[in-house]
Amino acid sequence: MNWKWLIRRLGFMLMVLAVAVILNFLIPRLMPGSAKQAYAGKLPEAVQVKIIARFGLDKSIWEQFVLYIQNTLKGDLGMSFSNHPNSVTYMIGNALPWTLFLLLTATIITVPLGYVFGVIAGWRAGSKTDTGIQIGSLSLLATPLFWIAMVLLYVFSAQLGWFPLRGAETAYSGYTGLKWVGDVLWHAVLPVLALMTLFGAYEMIMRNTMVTTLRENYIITAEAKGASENRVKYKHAARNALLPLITSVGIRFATIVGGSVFVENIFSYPGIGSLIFDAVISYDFPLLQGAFLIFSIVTVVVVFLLDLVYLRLDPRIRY
Amino acid sequence: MENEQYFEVDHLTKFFPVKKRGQFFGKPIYVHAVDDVQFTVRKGKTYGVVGESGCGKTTLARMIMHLEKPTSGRMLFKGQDITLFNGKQMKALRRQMQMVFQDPFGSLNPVRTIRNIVAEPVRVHHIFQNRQDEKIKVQEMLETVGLSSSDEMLEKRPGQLSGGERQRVGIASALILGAEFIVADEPVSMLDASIRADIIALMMKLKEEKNLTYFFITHEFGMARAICDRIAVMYAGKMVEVADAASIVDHPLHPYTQLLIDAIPPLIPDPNWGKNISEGEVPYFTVPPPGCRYHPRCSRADELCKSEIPELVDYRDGHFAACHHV
Amino acid sequence: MKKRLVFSFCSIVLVLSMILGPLACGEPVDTTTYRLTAAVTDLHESSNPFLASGRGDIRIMSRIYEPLVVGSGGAAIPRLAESWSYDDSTMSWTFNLVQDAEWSDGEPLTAADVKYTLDTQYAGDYSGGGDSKEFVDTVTVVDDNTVKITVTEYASAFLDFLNSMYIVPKHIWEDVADIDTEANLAPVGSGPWLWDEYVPQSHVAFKKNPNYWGGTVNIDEMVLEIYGSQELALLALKTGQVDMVPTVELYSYIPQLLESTDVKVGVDRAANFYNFLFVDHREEPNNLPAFRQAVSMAINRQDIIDFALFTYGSIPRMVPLVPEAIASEDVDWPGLGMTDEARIDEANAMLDADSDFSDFVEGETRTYKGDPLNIEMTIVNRPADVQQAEIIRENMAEIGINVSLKLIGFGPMMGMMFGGGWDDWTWSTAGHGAGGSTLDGLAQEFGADPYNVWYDAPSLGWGEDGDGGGTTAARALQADLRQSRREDDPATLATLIEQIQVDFAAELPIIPLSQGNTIYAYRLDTFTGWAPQEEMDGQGSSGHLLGTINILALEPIAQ
Ligand SMILES: Nc1ncnc2c1ncn2[C@@H]1O[C@H](COP(=O)(O)OP(=O)(O)OP(=O)(O)O)[C@@H](O)[C@H]1O
Ligand SMILES: [Mg+2]
Repeated sequence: MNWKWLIRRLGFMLMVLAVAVILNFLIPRLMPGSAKQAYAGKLPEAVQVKIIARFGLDKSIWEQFVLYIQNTLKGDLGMSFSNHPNSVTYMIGNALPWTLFLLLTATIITVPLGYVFGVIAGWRAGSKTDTGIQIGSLSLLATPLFWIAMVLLYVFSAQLGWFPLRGAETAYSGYTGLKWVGDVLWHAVLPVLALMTLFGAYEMIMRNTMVTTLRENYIITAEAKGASENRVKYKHAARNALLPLITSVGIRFATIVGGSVFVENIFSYPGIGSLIFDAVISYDFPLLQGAFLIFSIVTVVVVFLLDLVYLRLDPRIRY
Repeated sequence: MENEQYFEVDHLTKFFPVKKRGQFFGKPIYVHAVDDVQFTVRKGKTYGVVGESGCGKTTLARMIMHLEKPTSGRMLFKGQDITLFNGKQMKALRRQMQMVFQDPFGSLNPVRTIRNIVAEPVRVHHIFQNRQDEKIKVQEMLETVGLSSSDEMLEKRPGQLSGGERQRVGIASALILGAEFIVADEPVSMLDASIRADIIALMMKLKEEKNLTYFFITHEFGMARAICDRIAVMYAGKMVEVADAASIVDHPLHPYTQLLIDAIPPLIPDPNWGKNISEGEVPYFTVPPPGCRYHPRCSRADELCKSEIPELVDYRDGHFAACHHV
Repeated sequence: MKKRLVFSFCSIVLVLSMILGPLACGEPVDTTTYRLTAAVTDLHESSNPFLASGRGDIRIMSRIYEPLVVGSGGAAIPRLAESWSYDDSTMSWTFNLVQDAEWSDGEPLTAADVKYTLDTQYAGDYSGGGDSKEFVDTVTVVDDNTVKITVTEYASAFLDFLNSMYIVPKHIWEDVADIDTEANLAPVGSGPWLWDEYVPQSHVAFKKNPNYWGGTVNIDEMVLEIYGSQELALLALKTGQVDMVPTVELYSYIPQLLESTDVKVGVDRAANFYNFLFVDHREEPNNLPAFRQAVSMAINRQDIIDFALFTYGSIPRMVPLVPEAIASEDVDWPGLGMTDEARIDEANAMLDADSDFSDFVEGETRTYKGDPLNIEMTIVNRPADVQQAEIIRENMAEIGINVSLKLIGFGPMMGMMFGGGWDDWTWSTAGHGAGGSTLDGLAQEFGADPYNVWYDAPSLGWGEDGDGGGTTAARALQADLRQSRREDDPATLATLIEQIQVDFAAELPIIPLSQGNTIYAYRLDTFTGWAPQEEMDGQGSSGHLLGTINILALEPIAQ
């Protein structure tokens, strides 16, 4: 483990988080209309008074900032307009596990798939197989996520009835144990498939790095040693080409977080994406801000975790 | 035994198809990287190939190692025709033939540990049943090439080693299977001058100890003269002169060989050195000039040179040259 | 090796989820339990009756809590109050509570709970009871089953206001530290349903209240499932995944829905919304009542309803901005009985009569004081709205007014209505009361309260009443209307309403166009006893069908 590097990354992560938190503080205060409007505008008057006191909205900007930081650290992100008396934290707390489940499942399935197909295509670049895979990837990349989600829902749920029309689990089912797990997986299949369109991006990255890696001298070395085709392909070439893929997973994660807003809404999935959608429709600023904050935290944490994976995979990192 | 025809090459040719920039259709044109080459390597000797950059040395070495398919020609190893060996036969053959690469930086997989790199050939050939035996063998090889065999060393990656150390790792990995024929493609050209001699000395020492045969590629005539028994001079994919080391240095027959010899830096610095070395370009032939390929750069060239390709002719006890004006 | 393991693990998970999922879910739930499932697209996930507002809340409130009466448009259905009366001054009301009502925790429901609820609602300025807080003076407990309420002024809409006054148990709420932040996730109520499970963004589930005072519900469970869109909710109904959709908003889907013989669509004419043409009467000639009346006359409202609302709408039958109590039963709109030709001729005649307008010439744009009448109409870029606006545009061409359409998004439209900046005409949907944001926005822009504009309208002759401004005049009008209704005198009633509407059109920059009704849809193969349409009238699907009264009539069909 490279501690110096780790601490540096950790520091970077905290910095990004700090920026996100500060933006979250500034945006409602820079918007036309007052911060009072953004925080309390649509709440009943009696509640407004309390929110104004809690966030010091009638005090100076510095006092507001101190209160805001204190409240954020306490986990108090304000009160949802459209769902009062529920707090933003409560809403997000309920939604976050579902979103994480969707995003991580999709990523965990998609990355290895992109890897395998990328290796196959890159190994025989220019062949018919390669062309076929490239066409598939490109068309997936070019198709809007929400459109794919809608087609999946229409075909598999509405027409064929193989999958449910909505939700993350059967409502009020009373399922427990394995049955519940099965139910949740059944509900997750289509949303995950929709998010898996990112496969295209991963496959292309893997293929292209594979092609460049195959030109490296150590590939010829491995061949000269008598290594079999598969050994050269996976142990030597793909193993090195994997690194840019890992980096891109971090970059793409932000994209699929964005995509989850559409996908969750289309599948009525009770995650952060649906929250954001509802918040936008009902002008629920506190909820919106809270959701964005949590998304930035999730993204930063995932990127950091990927850094750890990267560190483990690439021994060359020495700063 | 000493004079056994150990490794033979017959009319070996490699053309690379290339397309011009922006050319998508139509027939490709060909780079004549190696053109109708023939030579014999004798057991226990060091066979040197000298030539400028781009003359086809690496291509030749790769064809010998079956990393590149020849366009035509034959290769014989211990009297057996290996040209059309399939993957399985070739794998078996690799236990006897291994290669040391020019680039110690790129030729080692950067993410693998030294232990894995050195052990790769024995793993590929399933030599050891357990990891402990393998580790002992790896340590032994590291010591043989003059590296530390500590656990710390085993767990290092190429990026943590110097160029010289890496090349030693490359040599260890080439020798671990007990190969007796080593193709070395400019093994020291990318190293600092200060450590070149060490690596060469190591290779010579190993040659004595293990009775190795070397096919040694270099672009420095001086080095070839120092370590090779027989030297072939290549120009633009063709061999222009082949002879024993002493003979070729003392009595070069081909003007190109003469040029290379003149280019050897003197041991004692001489202010006049290099004044009369002719200028020339590295030829890159898709359409080789008619006649002798060297004629555009040659001072002795005449009409004959422009029209007729000179044959390699034995002028003196195995001293071959391909020139109309010997 | 390790890598292969990871791969196989991933593929196994993927395959398992595809196989195991349907297997695990394929089995039906306990068949002896009857469950009614409704698909909703809006659900406010709170069961705090003090914070309830809007349709989503009422769906939940009306299952677990009950008001004293359910009133609408003058008719009132008893709930917790089995009877009520008022004295001659109409300033003192007495409500007699049902005898054996009790809370779901076993405590008896008494007059003290009613007093506590009203006092707390009014004191905290909560939304329950609507505007009744303006005139309710005191609430007194007479005995355990009797409450007396005194008011400061006569208000015919009093009973209507009580619709949303959900009576809560005093012994529970007294101990609540902060009503404003109480999520009330284990509500104790008196209604036919007990709140059982709540999963945010997913569903709210109720179990029947076995001790409900009003009778036994034949259904064991009711689940409100939240759907991401109307399309999906209706699809779920069509495919039998849910038993009803309480609010259908996607009219274009209705014909498709009706292809299934198991699905029926009902119309609830009480919970409604209105479409208006807003006219910026700060500009000439928009400020001329005659001009607006001609425009109003030329518009073919029936076309708008037929084409754009797929006939699930009606001619506006109540004057917007006037308390609901004075709504009439179907009143003909001026020009409605006339043929299209006669209507257009009439409208043209109205404009031709004014010398400032050039005379009508077929295919040409009229001028007003020399300027051609080019009007820009702003509409929300929604298919139904565009269709309706197109009809208006064609009608206007027939009287020589050139209307061009400007399509904008819903968000910007709201911004315009709130913040100003619209020219000429705007076509929009608006409600009044809680949802009346468009009208409120308009009022903001014009610097006036539309309610007062109406009350104080000088041409109605009510503005002179110094005492209390227009309120007294409105009261007089309401009294007249109520009188004629009580005496079952439809002729007088119609004249009164028509007078109000014409005066209204003259005074306000708003032309009512159509009234969309709330549509609900249900399946016939799972339950019988759905309310017939006549019964639904005037009661509101949200309070009625899914609430108490008719839910008692619903019988599950054994499968
Ligand atoms: N794969 C290939 N495709 C096309 N041309 C090639 C390929 N490999 C080599 N060549 C060409 O063949 C010729 C010989 O190349 P080669 O690498 O054998 O030269 P070299 O003598 O080893 O040079 P250096 O001293 O720079 O290593 C060069 O002109 C090179 O451009
Ligand atoms: Mg080379």
